[in-house]
Amino acid sequence: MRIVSRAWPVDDVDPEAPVIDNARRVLAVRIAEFYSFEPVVPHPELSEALHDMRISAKRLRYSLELFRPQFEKPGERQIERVRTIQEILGTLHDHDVRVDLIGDELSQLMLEQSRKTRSDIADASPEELATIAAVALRPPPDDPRRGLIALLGREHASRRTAYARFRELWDTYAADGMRRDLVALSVRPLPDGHAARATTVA
Amino acid sequence: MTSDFPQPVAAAIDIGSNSIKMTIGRANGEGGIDQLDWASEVVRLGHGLDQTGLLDDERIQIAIETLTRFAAQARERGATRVVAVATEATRAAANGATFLDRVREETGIEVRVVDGQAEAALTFRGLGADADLTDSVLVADIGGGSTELITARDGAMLAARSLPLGSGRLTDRFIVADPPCLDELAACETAAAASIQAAQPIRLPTSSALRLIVVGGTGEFMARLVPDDQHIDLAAVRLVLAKLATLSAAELADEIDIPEARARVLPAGVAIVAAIASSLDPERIEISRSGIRAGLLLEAIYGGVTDEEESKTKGGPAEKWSRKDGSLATDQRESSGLNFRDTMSELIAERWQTVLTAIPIALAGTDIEGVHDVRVASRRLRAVMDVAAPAFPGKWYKALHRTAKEITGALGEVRDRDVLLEALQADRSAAPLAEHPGIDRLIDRVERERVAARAEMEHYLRRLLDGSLRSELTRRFGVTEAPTSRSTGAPTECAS
Repeated sequence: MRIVSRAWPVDDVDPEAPVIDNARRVLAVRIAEFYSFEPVVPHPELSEALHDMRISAKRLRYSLELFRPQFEKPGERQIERVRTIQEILGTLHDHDVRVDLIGDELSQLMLEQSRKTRSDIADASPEELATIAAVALRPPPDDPRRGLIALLGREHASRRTAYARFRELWDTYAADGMRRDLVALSVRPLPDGHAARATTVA
Repeated sequence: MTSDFPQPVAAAIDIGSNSIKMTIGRANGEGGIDQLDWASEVVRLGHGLDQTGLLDDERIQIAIETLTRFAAQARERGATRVVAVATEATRAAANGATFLDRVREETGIEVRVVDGQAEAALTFRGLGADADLTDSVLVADIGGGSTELITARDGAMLAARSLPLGSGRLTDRFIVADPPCLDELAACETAAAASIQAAQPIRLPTSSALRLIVVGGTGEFMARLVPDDQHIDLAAVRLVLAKLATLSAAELADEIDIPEARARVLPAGVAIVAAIASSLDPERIEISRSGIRAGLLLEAIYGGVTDEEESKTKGGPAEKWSRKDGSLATDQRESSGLNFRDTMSELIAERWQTVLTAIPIALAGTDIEGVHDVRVASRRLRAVMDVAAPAFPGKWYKALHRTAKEITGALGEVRDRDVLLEALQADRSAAPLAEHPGIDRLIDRVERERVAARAEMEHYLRRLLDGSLRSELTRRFGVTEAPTSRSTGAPTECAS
């Protein structure tokens, strides 16, 4: 099952209310949206869902930045954390894109070579068959497969490293109370002189 | 009467979007300041900020070197305190906090980022020491990234407003030619006037004799272009604009003895003065050299705002403060009456403007970051449009929202290939020769895909720009157009 990356709507936005009221509502939804991807975290194979998580992190970060003055200094730390997570998920996605691309190119190349070998065999005299078989079994030094296979191996290794970094970061932030801190921002008491209005709106 | 006791010396530094300036002053024993020394450096810290959302690394380095020099100069002049504030560029940039950390670590200067309200209050306090604030005044502090407008009556501040208008910002957006073309200056003035009109009405003192006091370098340097015997009014400002269209930055720098980089952004600053004067119709225009640094020095030497000053600066009702680049209302107490819909409307206008300004650069294709910039700008736009959707229930809004998504998508295919090509080239240079044929095959494929994706992107963007998007944005959000010459990059000469 794929968790869809569409932005969660913020249903209770009040256009007539002050920005601070709506900022907290927006943030609460974006936090919930971002953490809805938490079950994906232990699954490195779910590349699309991890990519969607990255998009959700980006939305959360933009919301924090959009309402920067409302969330003041405590918001800055959260922006940095979310940005760091978003960036490592971005690196992971870049590796996924390259793995897919290289894999696809390799498949096409092997298909082409397979067709050519079969065609060569069909047209070959019995004496030529041994040479064709030898070339097919041992590609020449300039065979493009060498580069593609090596590149694919490196991409897989880099992706594993990137995922390990993401997990480490996620676990560290979780232990540091990132979710708690984010939620605290979304329910922060309003400044003096604002409480009455906020209560009315709520 | 001056005190016989040694008076404290302090240095006040203002880190703006165009310049970093320092004033060193000593308490004069009568509640005022005697200026001992000053320094100014054109750093253009805010250059490119509208496109990238970031302070440029090179500008950061220049700023830190400048601040290091200023700190040494302040110490030499006996300053026991160095106070510094950063304004629009730093508060708007995503890496503003990182910049300030570096400033603290490398220069020892603790910089306070002030919001529009605090900036206006400091400016007004500084102005009190120099300018005549009797009767009704409108104060305009024109910076590189923002303009603070303050209204006051008989020395009491009524209201303040921060607008996302700055001489550097408008220069980046509208001025390509050197000297600037008249139509570029007109575009600056139109954009400034539109921004003033799009904001909530500015509460003007009820008086027929409103004076406009222009604070900051723009006013000071503009005045050098006005004949000594002539008083400054809108007509005089327009004459200055006409003259500026005939002087290259180098010639202007030479004529009024300012750095060339500062001369480059002065025309846009004067266009802002013209826009304010034509929108708010002051009887006359005055220039003051005092401003935020004078206010900072008073604060550093005599402490925070006095009760009397407090009552003056809180004299008006809560005003709206919006920062267009990245965030909203700064002073929560002051902004308790802020209307979400109007604020979002302004932000959406600003972000659409950023997208429209960046598109010609992406279309020019000379810088691969151009595509990235539009993509980032469109994502930032969507972040606001997602949030603001409930405030705009009409179908027209959904259509514009969809267009914003399409822009992100249209550029995504090209951007992905740009990133891929960079990575593959790096892989190739690190790989053994035997692997090159395979990597080259991949590079060929991605380059072919990129050409196709780029053609599709160009087709989409040109269709978009030729269609009704701009008029719809102007109608719905008051978005103004950037001149198409912006896409050409380097300074050019005006077409005759």
